[in-house]
Amino acid sequence: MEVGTGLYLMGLALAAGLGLPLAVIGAGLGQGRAVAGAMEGMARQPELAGRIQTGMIIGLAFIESLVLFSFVIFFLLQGRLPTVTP
Amino acid sequence: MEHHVSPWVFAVFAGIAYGVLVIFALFSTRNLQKRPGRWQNFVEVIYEFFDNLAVSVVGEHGRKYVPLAGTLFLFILTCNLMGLIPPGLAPTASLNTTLALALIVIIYVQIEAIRARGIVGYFKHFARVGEVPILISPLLFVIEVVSELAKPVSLSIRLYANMFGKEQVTLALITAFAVPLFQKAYLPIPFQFPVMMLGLLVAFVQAFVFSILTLIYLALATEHHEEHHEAHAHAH
Repeated sequence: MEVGTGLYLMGLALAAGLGLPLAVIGAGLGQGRAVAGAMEGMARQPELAGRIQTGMIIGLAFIESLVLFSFVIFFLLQGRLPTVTP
Repeated sequence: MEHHVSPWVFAVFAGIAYGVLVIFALFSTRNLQKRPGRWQNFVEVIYEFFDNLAVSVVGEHGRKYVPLAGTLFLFILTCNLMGLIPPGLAPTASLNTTLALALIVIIYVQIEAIRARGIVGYFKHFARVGEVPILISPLLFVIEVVSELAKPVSLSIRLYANMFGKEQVTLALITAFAVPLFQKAYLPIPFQFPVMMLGLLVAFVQAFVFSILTLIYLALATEHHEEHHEAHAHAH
């Protein structure tokens, strides 16, 4: 195997493996902040809990969809990796 | 990203979901009573939930969008739940199904926006004419068009990737842990069970998110101009 191909495959494997966890770290922090804010709001004003919860779910879905985009990219990259029989 | 299942299987399962929903609707609207029984009460609770949701998100004229949002919710929920029953397959785990649903929503939103504002007002709204300095308008027009085009993409990929991801994780857990353990030691431990419980939650949440985003897009597209100005005046 040539050096260039090896480097390409190494980069591909690293990108496929590392991309999703990085996205998950970011989205986890973001969702944590969103839920914390929503919970605080609910504790302060329990009468608005329903509306805050709806908004929170929408926000969480938006944050989550970013992870899912990188999940789709992960599958695209994974499909390009060759299968190796040891 | 390819499935190991050919696309028409998803279409067949989507057809089964339609059939289930049609039977559900026929069964629950037959023999309606003034004093609802148990079943009719259940169905009315579903309807009222979406009625309240549409009124609170879109406003008083949002009642006409209840059938669309409710149908989307029930259809997506049925599709998602079909993936949890063993011989079944979630039709929403295919990009074909979700993209079709998202295109229905987005095209309907554009039609409603044109109906609410007129064809000139529709394009004016894209450029935010009258709300921003005239020099920024062309730039905003481009940004708005791009974000409008991004809506069906994000709607469809959100639902598809959720369902597809759940299925892939289930499959990975089965092939990596459950099957080898069973072959070696005949221990039938369902390692995929926690993921399927999570999938049950995701099925409801994603169906809800899809239909409420439909309502939000409709609300943004049909908001009245007077209200808009008033809201801006209050904000300043």
